[in-house]
Amino acid sequence: MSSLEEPLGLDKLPSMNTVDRIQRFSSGACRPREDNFGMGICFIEGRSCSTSNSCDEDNEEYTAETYPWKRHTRDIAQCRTFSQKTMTKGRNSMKFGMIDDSLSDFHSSPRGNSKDIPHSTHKFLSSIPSYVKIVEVGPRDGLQNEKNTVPTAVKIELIHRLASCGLSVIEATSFVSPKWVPQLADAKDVMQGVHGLEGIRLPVLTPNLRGFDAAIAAGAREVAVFASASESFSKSNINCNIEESLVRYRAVTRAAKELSIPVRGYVSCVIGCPVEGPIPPSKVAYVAKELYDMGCFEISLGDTIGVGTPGTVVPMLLAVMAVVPTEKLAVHFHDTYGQSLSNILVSLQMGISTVDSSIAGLGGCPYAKGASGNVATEDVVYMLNGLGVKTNTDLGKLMSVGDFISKQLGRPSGSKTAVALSQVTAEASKI
Amino acid sequence: MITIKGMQRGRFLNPVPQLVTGLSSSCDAMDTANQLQSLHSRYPEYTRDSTKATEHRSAFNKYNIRGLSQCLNWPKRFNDNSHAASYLVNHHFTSDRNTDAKDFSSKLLKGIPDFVKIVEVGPRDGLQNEKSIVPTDVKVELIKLLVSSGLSVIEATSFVSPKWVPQLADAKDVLEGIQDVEGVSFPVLTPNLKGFEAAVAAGAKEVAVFPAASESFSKANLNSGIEDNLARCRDIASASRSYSIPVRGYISCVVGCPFEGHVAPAKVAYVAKALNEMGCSEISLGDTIGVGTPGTVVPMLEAVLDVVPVDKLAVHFHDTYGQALSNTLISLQMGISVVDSSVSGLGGCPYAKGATGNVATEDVVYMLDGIGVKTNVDLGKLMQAGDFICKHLGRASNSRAATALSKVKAHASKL
Repeated sequence: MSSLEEPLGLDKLPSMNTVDRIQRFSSGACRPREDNFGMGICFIEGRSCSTSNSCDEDNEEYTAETYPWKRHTRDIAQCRTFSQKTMTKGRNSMKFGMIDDSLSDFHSSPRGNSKDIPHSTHKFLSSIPSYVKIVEVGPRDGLQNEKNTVPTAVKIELIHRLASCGLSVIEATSFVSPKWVPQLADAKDVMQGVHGLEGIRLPVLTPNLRGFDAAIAAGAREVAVFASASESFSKSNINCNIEESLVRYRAVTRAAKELSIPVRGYVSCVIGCPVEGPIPPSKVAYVAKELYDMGCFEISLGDTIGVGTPGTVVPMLLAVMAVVPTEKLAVHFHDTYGQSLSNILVSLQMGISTVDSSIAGLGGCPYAKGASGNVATEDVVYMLNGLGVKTNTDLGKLMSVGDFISKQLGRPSGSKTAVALSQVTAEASKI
Repeated sequence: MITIKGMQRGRFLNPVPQLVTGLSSSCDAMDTANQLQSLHSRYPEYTRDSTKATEHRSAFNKYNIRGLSQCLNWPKRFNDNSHAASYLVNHHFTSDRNTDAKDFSSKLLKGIPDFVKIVEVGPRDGLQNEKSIVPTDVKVELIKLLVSSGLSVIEATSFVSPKWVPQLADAKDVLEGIQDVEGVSFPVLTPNLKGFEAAVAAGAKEVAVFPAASESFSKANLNSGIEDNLARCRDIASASRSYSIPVRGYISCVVGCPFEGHVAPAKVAYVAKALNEMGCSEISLGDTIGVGTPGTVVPMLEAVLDVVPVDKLAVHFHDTYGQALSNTLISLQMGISVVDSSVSGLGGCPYAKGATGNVATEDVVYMLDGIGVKTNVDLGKLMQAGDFICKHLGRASNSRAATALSKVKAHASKL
């Protein structure tokens, strides 16, 4: 698979190479350079790096200039998505003429370059952040919901491979009782195996103080807690009601603060609950605010059973955004009803800039057996690339990691992009 | 660490404490509605909306839902819920930033049409790309099941040479089988005048033509370049005018082509304009290989909207890269009100074997129901049609919504 680092037609655009763009949008040396996939440059300083998208604050200063930029960035990204395919397809059908020419033509044509987008359409894309952080939950949320338990060595290998794709946050494992989640009973060993990974944040789930202590002892440097917006789901999933869980998490966040450990907060069932049905947005806002007030640096809003559509996602986000700043929010959609990408799109339009996803769409939905669960990272990155949104991830490398874990699990990838692109390369390689 | 940053963003937090403290004492839906009521009395300028609070309270009362079997009806109830929540947010948080967010957020959904017509292409575009050939009576039964779900336009078959598309060689018989069905449009594909005449002879009352926006694709798929193809379309259009038969125009490769890569929006606009001028009643823009994302779909739609009115346009996205629903959403935001889809996501992508193709009608309808858009399509009956054809084809549905809902129902029936 060709590298996506060097976009085509860059020389035809007015200015700004990739490095320049990164420096423009990053605060200090916080963000990894595009040619160095997150290893060795981004430091976990416990301050700016642990806050999600501190870069956004810098963005605001550049708003006037960034708009014409975004157009170019989008063009490059579109080009990138196609260049990958045309380079493989090109070999397939050279008789139809040079592929590169048509791509360059597009970039140098007036429409493709500096033409102003009329306001009516501009408004649907201009509010989308220029950089989106992908939080990879495959090794935890993904493997936790897979039928087969994966050996420790494979988990460690998976995390190492994901780290090389440019991802900056990878949820490594969970310190819940092995009685409840046997798939992640090897949490300590996994942490030991990824100990050496530099420049990547590896949060782990901790349901209570005991789990927190175990996580710290195992070397974790970031933790996550998970409350529910639904009383019934809370009781059935973590054996206590919402208030009790919040009390537990306050203890965790207090202990974490003393050790300067960042805490990420999850809210589950933000749209619907398998028992209660629709969840009022105000309830989600309440739980989100409680988690934020107790010290969580980021709140991830999870549509646990995947029933959301823009009609329910928008009011929910509005309610939460009224009490928690947008840059502290992440969205975690499930693709159980095929709705995740459209939900992610509308969330981006509302200014959300952190998206949780799972490599190869690992992790089924426990409430609808056989139905899909997490949205696939490859599909999300494909869309973000097409939108011209920076992610610092390499789609080609993501696909090979997805391929690796799918083979290990003995099942096809849950990512449509990965399936489509691998068929395309397979065909091309037959020539 | 975060608290300092949080204070810098204090605009979000200032108006909040009163209301949220009030909420935090009890998050019961009833209490929320009651709080709304008391806030109304504090803000008399909103008294005219106080009747809404009573409505909302009764709406909230409906939310004590038990049982997984309720899942099928959730989306409709959400809309009541969403009004209440938006009301809560809209009227009681007055920070500038939040007003902008609210205004913009309502714009995100307001531009979406109230009614969207679904054009079901499963029996043609779907079955045409399936490996197995389906017997005529199964096709007819499928179409009848689709009709009963409320769909008003169903692409029945195609009058192309059986040499090219053996799966649809029984076009005449299929049309005969659905002759007596009233009130539904059954467009059929006609690649040339010969196909057109065969279609009319078989009783077709609406036809469709399909040029491409990419020269290479046109040559490879239709054996002629764009201009020659458009000339043929014009012949069909003038012939159909004499019969008073409407013509639907399809444009393939509107975003990307398997040979040429990116397709220029200007080219798509050119073909769309030509189809419009020759008298097509509707023009369906097809992302044939499914590579589009909003980043490429928006400029393409912009270019076409410059030359064709929005009410004549339809979108036909393929889900090969999983992008179809998000592309459909952005098209709806731009005012498009006709969406092509295929029951159970029938029809693979011929250019990436094993990859998915058409977007599943059930997934589209699920999203539209959730947004509150009228489609006149019953999701449950639609799922039955999908179930029927998938059983016959011996494979699982490509629709995620249908798969999830059928598992939920199976689970609930065990209770």
